[in-house]
Amino acid sequence: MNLTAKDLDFAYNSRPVLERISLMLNPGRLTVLIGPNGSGKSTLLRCLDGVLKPRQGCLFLEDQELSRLTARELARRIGYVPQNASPLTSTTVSEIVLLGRRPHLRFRISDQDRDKVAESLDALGLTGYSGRFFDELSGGEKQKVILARALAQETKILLLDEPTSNLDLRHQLEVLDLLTSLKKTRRLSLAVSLHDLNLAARYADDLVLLHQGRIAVAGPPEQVLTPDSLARVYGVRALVKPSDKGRLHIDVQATLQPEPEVEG
Amino acid sequence: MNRNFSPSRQIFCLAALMAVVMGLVFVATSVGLSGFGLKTVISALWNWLTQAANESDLTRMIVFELRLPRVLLALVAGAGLALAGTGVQGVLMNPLVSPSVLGVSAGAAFGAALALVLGVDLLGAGRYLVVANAFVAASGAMLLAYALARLRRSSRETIILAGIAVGYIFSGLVSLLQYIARDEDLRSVVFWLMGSLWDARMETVILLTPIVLAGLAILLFLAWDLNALGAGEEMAHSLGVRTGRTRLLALLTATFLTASVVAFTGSINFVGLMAPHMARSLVGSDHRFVVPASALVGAGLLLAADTVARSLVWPVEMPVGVMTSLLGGPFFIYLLLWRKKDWLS
Amino acid sequence: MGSMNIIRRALLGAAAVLIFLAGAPAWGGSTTEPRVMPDPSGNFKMIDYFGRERLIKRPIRRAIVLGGAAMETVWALGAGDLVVARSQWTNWPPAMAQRPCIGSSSRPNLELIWKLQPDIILADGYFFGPLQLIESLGVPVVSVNGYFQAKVKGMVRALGQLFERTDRAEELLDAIDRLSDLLADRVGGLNDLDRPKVFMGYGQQFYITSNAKRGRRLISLGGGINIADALPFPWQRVSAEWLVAQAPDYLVIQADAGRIGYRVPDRDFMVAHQREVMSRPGLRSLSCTAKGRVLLIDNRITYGLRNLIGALHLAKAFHPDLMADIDPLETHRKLMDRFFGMEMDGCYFFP
Repeated sequence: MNLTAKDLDFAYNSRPVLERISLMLNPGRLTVLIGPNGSGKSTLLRCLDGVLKPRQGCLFLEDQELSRLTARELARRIGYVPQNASPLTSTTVSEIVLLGRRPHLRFRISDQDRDKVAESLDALGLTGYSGRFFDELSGGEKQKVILARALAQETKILLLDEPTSNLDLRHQLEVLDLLTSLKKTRRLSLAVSLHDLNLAARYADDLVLLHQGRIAVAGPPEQVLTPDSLARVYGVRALVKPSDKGRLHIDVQATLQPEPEVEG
Repeated sequence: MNRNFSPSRQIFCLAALMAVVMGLVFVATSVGLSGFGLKTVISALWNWLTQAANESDLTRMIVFELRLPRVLLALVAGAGLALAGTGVQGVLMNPLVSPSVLGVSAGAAFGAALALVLGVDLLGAGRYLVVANAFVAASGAMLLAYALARLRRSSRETIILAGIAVGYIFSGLVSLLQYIARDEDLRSVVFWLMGSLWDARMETVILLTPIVLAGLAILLFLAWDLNALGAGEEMAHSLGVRTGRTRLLALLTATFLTASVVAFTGSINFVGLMAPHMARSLVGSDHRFVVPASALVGAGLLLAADTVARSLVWPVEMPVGVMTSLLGGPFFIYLLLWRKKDWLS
Repeated sequence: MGSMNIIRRALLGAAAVLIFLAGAPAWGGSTTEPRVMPDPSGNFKMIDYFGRERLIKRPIRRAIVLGGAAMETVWALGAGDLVVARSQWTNWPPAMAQRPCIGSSSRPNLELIWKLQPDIILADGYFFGPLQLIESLGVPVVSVNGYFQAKVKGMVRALGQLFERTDRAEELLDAIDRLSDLLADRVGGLNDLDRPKVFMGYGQQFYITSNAKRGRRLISLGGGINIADALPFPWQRVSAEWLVAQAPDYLVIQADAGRIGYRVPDRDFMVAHQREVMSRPGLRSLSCTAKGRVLLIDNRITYGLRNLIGALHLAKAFHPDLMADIDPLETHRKLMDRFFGMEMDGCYFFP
């Protein structure tokens, strides 16, 4: 299932945040959104999920317009993991993962729901954790639980807002490796926003570089991550060199003056 | 502490709660005028069921006109207040709110005081003057708070703050009415503010029962939405919850539940606050179980408080609202000091 | 924030119950019969209800009256034109309602009092607190109490001396004596077996009752027994079960028809109120309800000059055979005509 955005405009009250955004998420591909703070990454993900309504432009799921779907239908197709998705109540791991089944059930929990929860926990190596309280877990474990919930939702499209923030290096890699394997095994269309350009370069199939609410460059990493675009968007002087295994390595050397204008 | 999401534990808890409430009903029905204990009540009920009318008038009067309505009203009112509390706590994702914090109680008090002090009839309700006024003003207060919050953006914090502000305004108006009231009227207002089930009538029970059952049904219908909201508003949204609609529906339900109950009983605080907490600590955070458990806890709580209130200084009726406040204050302090970890708000 | 509010409310609730338990009226010290004596200076010396001694300039030309019982007495003594201001609810007789209002008797407007330059302020026996503050204005404040039947005569006598209308006061006292002699003669000697059991409730929330002196004495003067005598607090709400088990012979309800101010009591209101009380659970099945023995009495004939009219109505209701030749309504009408110079209107007792 693919998700297409055409000429999206979004504004908070009268302050434009996104302008003329067009992109496409494809099955089996991981699209990484990068850009400085305030460039519109989170807002774009929320627009793609339907949480925020774009002022202009349209979104298509395959060839169906997103706004025509009910909230429940949408939730069965698109999953979304917000940043800091910490629940407010004291809940157990299994209760949180079970929430992912909410778009599929009415009141009772069926055996199928139970199976899906167990399956998702298993996929993330969390089987032993089901009765644990969420707030007793470490940051990495919490992130995995949130992911398990998104898996239990069984959507073909999954949007994740900075899933690696607050994680140490090892857990960052673990989460991204997991997403990579999921996109292959389940043919998911993934969109992830990241801050770390090296991680982005390493995992992205497609990169979208946002700058002040517009797409500065989009395409395969080697087209997007150029010293020129980094200077323009981030205001830094950086070297981009291909390392072994054909990955890119970005080496930031200095900030450029003046600092580019950053939106709220 | 481990909890499993297999529902057997929760169902057991609900059954146990039901048993406790039933036990309380037996105790409460046997408390009162001496010589009219449980045995008399049961035999009166049995005779009523079997149509064997060999009861003395006094027994019939005490059992059917006074004690049973009182016990039933305590159950229904307690359940209603608890459900309202569960609704607002769930939908505003804040364990420290209850309809009374959101201005409903102050609104009800204002409506009642208007009737008791100035004789102002908001609905042309005549005999049910105080009741109708309290209901109208209570609903008005919460809807006003909601509308004010909507003017900016209806985040849960704005609703709570708007509710507190509206509550203060109405409390001010109540104080004003008390100040200008004559002695006897002032006493009526003070007694109303303390809340009591002394005016228990079968009519009231019959009127409130469907309202409370409807509230229960609506909150059960919203159970999964409330669960999802517990994971955060954005999360809930992406799980297909229409958060705005859920919020409005839950708040309206809570408003009408509280307004209907307090209109008849006067201000009874804390049941709406305490019952959801107790329910959660028993059955976890799944609202499919929290909602009925909370209703049961509320029913039991109010019944117990009322039974104490009416038997403590026989034959004087202590106001049950004072009893719940005296129980609720310490409970709340306990919650603040020791149970904070449960809710990160 | 919300939590503080809730804790505050809990504490307020606790405080309320303590105040409630402590009993409402909070005057300090002992009380006494007010006395007025001539002073060597040619003025008056008065010892008031609270035993305070005050020098009062003679003659009184400007008086402020804070309290209904004192006001109607001043009026009945024929000194109504000396009243320059009144407190909020002291608005009967109607002519007195035209006088400026200085606010509630517990917190009167001091600036207005100062501006009116009264010679004396007559306060209500209930309010002790503000007296000293008012006196800082240099105006003597004396308290009289016309709310308890036993104090009425003392009040009449003292006010008669103060306003130098002792002849009129004697007439009033004589009328009071004749009424109380009549009551004592007809029902005073009854033993407990011949006295009906009476429950007196107050206001809209009928079960609220008092064991306080006023209701008890009214019932006793009328030849009944107050079943609330044994209750623990000055004011309380009683259990309906208890009331039903007591099976009172009469229910007496002090109705308050004029919700704002001191209006003429309304018969329709009393009829509706009686119907309401008689339909209450428990009460509707009482024998006294079946016999129509639910009596409504207006507040104003339970205290002050007219308190014996209330007692007379009760006596007539409790003991119709002993009071066959007495028409309380007619007595009331005559009293109104003779001492108040007013025509009777409104309904003070029902049925």
